[in-house]
Amino acid sequence: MDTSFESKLTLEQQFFKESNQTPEAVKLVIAAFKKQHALSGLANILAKQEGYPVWDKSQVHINKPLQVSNLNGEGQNEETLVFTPIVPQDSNFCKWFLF
Amino acid sequence: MHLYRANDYDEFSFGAIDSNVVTAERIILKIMELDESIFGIREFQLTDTLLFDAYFKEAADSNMRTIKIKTDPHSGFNSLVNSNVATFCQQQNCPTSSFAGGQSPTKATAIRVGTRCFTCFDFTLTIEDPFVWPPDPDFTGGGGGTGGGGSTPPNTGNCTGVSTCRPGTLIEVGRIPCGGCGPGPIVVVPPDVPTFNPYTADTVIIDPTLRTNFPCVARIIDSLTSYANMNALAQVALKEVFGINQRIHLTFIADNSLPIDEDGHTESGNLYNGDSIYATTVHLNEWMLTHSTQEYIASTIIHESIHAFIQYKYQQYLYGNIDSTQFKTLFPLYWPPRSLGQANGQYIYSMGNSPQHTAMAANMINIMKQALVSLYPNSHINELTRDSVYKAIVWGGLENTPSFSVRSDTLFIYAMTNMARDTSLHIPFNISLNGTTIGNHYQYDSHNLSLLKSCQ
Repeated sequence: MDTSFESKLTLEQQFFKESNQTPEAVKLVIAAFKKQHALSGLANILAKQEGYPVWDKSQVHINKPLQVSNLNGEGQNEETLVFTPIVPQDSNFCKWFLF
Repeated sequence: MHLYRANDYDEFSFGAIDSNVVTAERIILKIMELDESIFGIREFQLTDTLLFDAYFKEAADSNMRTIKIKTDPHSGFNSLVNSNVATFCQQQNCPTSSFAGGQSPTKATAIRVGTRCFTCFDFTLTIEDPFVWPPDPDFTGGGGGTGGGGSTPPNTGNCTGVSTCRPGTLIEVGRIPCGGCGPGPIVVVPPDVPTFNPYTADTVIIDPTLRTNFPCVARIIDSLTSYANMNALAQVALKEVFGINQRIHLTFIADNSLPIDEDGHTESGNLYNGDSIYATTVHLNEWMLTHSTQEYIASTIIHESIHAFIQYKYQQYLYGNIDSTQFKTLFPLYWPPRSLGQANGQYIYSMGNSPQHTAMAANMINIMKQALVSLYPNSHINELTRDSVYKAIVWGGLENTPSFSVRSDTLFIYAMTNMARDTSLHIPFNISLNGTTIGNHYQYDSHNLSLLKSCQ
């Protein structure tokens, strides 16, 4: 295993690293997260203090449509739920999860 | 987007898994589910007795509660619920004579693990739809139940919530979620890849050739005092010497085809990938099983098990799971073995007996001796005598090593291995080396030392 390559990634690259298997819904979350990071440096804080997201292990669920209707009388769209684990570096447990 | 911290769980209400708001149990279930998904962890120890308390019927004085996920590995949350998906275990005083209150004995299983006892129950975790994530409770309104409530975080600076542990921290535009408080509520116990304990090694295969014809030898392997079995014996020795835990599964068979002067033989074994369990077969000479003392037989088994270990590490090297530096560290006097050539960019080494015996003689004599002491304390002789005799016995098979050649007690060692190997010898007897008499011994034989004669 070539770990030296991994270590050359910047923190941001490591934090937002996705793969060919990353689901589209998760990619949307990553994009949203990047925007937050641009404003607040969120990824730096999380990565240094808590860990890294394991994007490819995210769970993507389609929530049931809510029963209530909106003001226009239309049923609300399905809700996509994405649970992304955050794992401290060099550990084997999940500490946080994003949703 | 919300961020849930495992250690913020107690800001939520306890109790209801299927609540219409997020509960502490719901968060912990999700964390457990993700741990299972990522790391294959399927056993968790609860550090907060409020969690899942409804499922633990005993009083909250337990100092250990565990949850074991029972579904197939990586089968997902959908199978984590709505069937018998979890075993909740609670440590109790031993012996367990009754089952936890409120549970019928048919549902409870008393388990003894070493000196600890547990009562375990299978439970169904019912969530109407596991994919629906309920909303957070109203933290600002003072509700929240037992552990709930929370507090409004200070909204200062660029940080959302600090030590107040705002649950379900909303990641607000331009603000950083931070804080988190207290220890986490669960400790992961990875049962699928448990921390290997050589003292509880449980896999050893005794071939029918031994069971049928040499029941005494089978008993040696089965139930040696202080050790679970001969696997444990070898592995404990290896742990003591090398400071590492490894899984080695040995099959022992009786073999009448070995030359009379070859007490045992260990096959090179199989390792299908670098991380898998190494399995091999140890052939034990039937002549030895018939004529030798149990102490000598046990020493032979240890000796052959260590051969298996060295072969195992060599195969790991060939698979690239350890590099030559690691191999060299494990066997400092074993390196470099004679190179037989190169294949696939790796050196192929001569793995004959000689370098392996060199490593054993240099590193393992005392631990092999100590294992024999543990197995056969022998109260009939004083400790000093016993230790010197046992140490001589474990030198058996290592006579061609550099470490042996510089010893001053080689004649005593030959005498002790002679008498332990052949219970027909009585003092005085000729000390034999490769069929040649090299001296005489007048002091000890297996009879006056009360060594255990093997049996058929």
